[in-house]
Amino acid sequence: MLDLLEYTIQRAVKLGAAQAEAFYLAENKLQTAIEKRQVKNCEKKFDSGVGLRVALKKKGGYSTGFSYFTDLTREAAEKIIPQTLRMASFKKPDKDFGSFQEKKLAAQVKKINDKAITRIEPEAVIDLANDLVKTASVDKKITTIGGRVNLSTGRIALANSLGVSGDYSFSRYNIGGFVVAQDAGSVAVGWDEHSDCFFDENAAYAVFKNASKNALSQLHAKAIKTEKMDLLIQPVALALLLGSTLTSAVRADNIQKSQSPFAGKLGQSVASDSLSIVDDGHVPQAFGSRPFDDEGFPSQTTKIIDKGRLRSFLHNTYTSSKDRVKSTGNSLRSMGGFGTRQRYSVEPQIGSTNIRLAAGIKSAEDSIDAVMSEVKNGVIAKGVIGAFTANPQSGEFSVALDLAYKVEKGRVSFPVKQAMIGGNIQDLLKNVSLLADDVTHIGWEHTSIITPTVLVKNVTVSG
Amino acid sequence: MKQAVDSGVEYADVRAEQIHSTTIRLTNDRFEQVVSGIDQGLGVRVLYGGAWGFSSTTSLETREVKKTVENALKTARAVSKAVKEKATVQHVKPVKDDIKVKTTQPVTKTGIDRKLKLLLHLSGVARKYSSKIIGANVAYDDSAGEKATVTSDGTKILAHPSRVIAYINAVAKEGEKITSCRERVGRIGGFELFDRVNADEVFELASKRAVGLLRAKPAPSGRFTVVVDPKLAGVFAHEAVGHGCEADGVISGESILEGKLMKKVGSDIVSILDDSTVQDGWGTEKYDDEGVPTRKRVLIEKGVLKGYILNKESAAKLGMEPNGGARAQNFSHRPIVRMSNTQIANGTYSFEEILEGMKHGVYLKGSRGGEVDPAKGTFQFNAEEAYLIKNGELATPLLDVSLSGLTLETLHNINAVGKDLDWAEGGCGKGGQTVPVGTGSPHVRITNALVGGRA
Repeated sequence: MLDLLEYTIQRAVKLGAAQAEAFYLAENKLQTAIEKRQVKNCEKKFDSGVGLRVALKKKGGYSTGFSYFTDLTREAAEKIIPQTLRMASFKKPDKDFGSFQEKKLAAQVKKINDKAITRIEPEAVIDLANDLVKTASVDKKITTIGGRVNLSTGRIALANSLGVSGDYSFSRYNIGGFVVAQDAGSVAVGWDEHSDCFFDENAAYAVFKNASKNALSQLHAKAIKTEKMDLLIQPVALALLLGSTLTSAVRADNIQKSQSPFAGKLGQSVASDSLSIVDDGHVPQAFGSRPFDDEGFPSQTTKIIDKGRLRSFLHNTYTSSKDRVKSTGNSLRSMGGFGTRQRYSVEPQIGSTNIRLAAGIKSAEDSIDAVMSEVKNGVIAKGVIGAFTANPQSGEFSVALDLAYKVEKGRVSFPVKQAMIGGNIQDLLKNVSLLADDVTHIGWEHTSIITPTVLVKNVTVSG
Repeated sequence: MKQAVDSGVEYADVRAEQIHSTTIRLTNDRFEQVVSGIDQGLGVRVLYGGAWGFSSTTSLETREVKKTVENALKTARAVSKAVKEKATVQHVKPVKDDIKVKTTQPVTKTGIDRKLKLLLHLSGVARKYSSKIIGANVAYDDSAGEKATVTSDGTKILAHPSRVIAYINAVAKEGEKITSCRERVGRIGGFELFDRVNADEVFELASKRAVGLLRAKPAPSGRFTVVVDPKLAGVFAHEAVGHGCEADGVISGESILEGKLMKKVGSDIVSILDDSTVQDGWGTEKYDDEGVPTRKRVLIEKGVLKGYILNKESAAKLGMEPNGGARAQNFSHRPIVRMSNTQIANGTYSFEEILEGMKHGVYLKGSRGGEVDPAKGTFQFNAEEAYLIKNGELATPLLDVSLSGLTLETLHNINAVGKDLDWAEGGCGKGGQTVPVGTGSPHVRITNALVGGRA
């Protein structure tokens, strides 16, 4: 594929581009759905395409143009090049545009491509899925079992006229179980999920076992009264909240537009003193790991928040050139916010790789039980509903808790019927008081959040 | 289709598309995305041995197309080995049709320079409204092309879809406070949309609303009588009721409306429809993606559940007629049961009559989106704007208010429905697919609703 990319950029330069860049993405997906205790669907999909970006030199700066094509031939490239140059000619020059990425050595990343996934046939996945249903059928009260087993493999190649040229393969394994239980008029839903670059059958069984356990333990949920209490936010719930607020708040483009609650706060205290957050593009088996970003900058580890202080934003080549800082390797071709699909048809934006939460020295070893024992009156929630309705510009959110349980005197006492929390990411980060040791990777498409359960004190929970 | 039918399938549908699209994202005066491209490809779905298989590809080389049909068969065979409950389809009378969308200015013949110029203008209009507007995030999407649907029943439909939408998220700032509001204009058709609607007015309204929110105070939490505007009530009809009426969910035991057909599920004044034939509806289509002619579907009539949204498979299962409810995002997705234009039908109250006599309540306006668990029947929606209602009048503006509840309880608690039906364009996500839908409603009043705020 690099041949077609090299050809395309050479032709674009010949036809007048000052710089040119071509990005290839191909994905093979095998998706299996379980509905009503049986495998309902199995799909095999192939998608590939090339995105071409050109820069035209004009008085006062460069202007860029972008197009994509899925017919991967030299003829199709020839057709798209003049159109892309024309688009660039219509746009005004942008003085902040520096250059496409200059050549740098790609980073070393481990275990992002499980070759075994390429070889897994539909039959094997369907056998597994049927076994998973059996695993979840542990009680007569369970009325419905659903879920998904998704496997994918892909390849990315990138070349530009400044000498960047490279490619890599990746794989994804994503599993979810969904169980409904009914008893004496009470209906309860339980679920669990797992994401990994590597295939792991045992993890799948654990997901379906947990989904059943969660459904059964949610039966006969009770209402709670609205009051201030302690909140234990489990990894999926926290990942949803951070994904809808923090990940856009630390994007340099949003900072430059003042559309972030962190604009102008670099160096200031924005979180609890014990909390550190990094963007780490190297974590083995994590969805955000890759040797280089979508413009060819090597992946790195960026300290976003260090012991409570805001240390860095996430940059691509454009925002780093505008701010005259180094890129952080966070160029991502994905549009529509956190966790949306990476596409060859999108101009480079900014996205986090793997967001990792780390506690200070004090509490990193605390087990979930030890953290829970600190809670006299509170709620623990595995998920939240409606996180994506958060306002990314202000960091404010209002969400319903999902798979929530009341915690009294350090122990889970009963399942909670309906509860909501409202607040903003700034207060949430400041009020995090303890981190447990159940660190979990929650991956979406080409990004992830890696976090344990956290304890947040004094939150208004409405029932 | 021939390759699939020759392999002995019970049913098959093939969809091939070539769609030209333009995507533009503009913040103030900087273009963050200007993308034009062609998406082409083919999706094959087969029913074999009572099991479904599906495969798709973006390559239209003969070899790749053959492999795609083989993959569809392979996945169906694999599923069929262990399938307990065999799927069947309700066959329909074959249709042959060639549909054109009326447009005087096709988007494919409208130069990119015109599109860029228009958006710069609209961004300017939004920013000129007030110096407090720090961001006009403007977006534009158009798509047009050809789409062929062929089924093993003999249906052959060639469609020429075309749609245009422009939207804004206006961001206002004063001191530390940041607020934002969205508005959009979209129609099926071409670039003539901007001659038909006053986009300037709509884009300015987003700024006006965002600036208005700067005065807003944190909302109280707890149970209130609420008045919900057409936008948010439309989202409620879609999320809380429409999803529950999707027959696939009903069959798989994931809907609270399962087994409730012809039963009372809401108050007498509530009627809810899903109608693919609404004039200028964002979810309007003549045929669904199984080639079935679409229609108006009555879901709830005067509080009684009257029907579901059906595709060929769920119709066979429930012994009903398919009603054109199968839609796919594009060729790379299988058709699943989806809504089109969902609405709460008009009632008899004026807005003033709805507010009349309310001592204390909350008025919720606009939507930042929502989520629903159809199995439990819980929902959560965020309003863009809200106001306290005091003695029948709108008082203090409120920030970040969400509405949560149980669908059935809420339907029974609707005690006034307005007569001011209004539509909005939206996108609905389900099973990893997004399709354009319309949502509509008049103002409605709901008692004992759970409002989540931060005060």
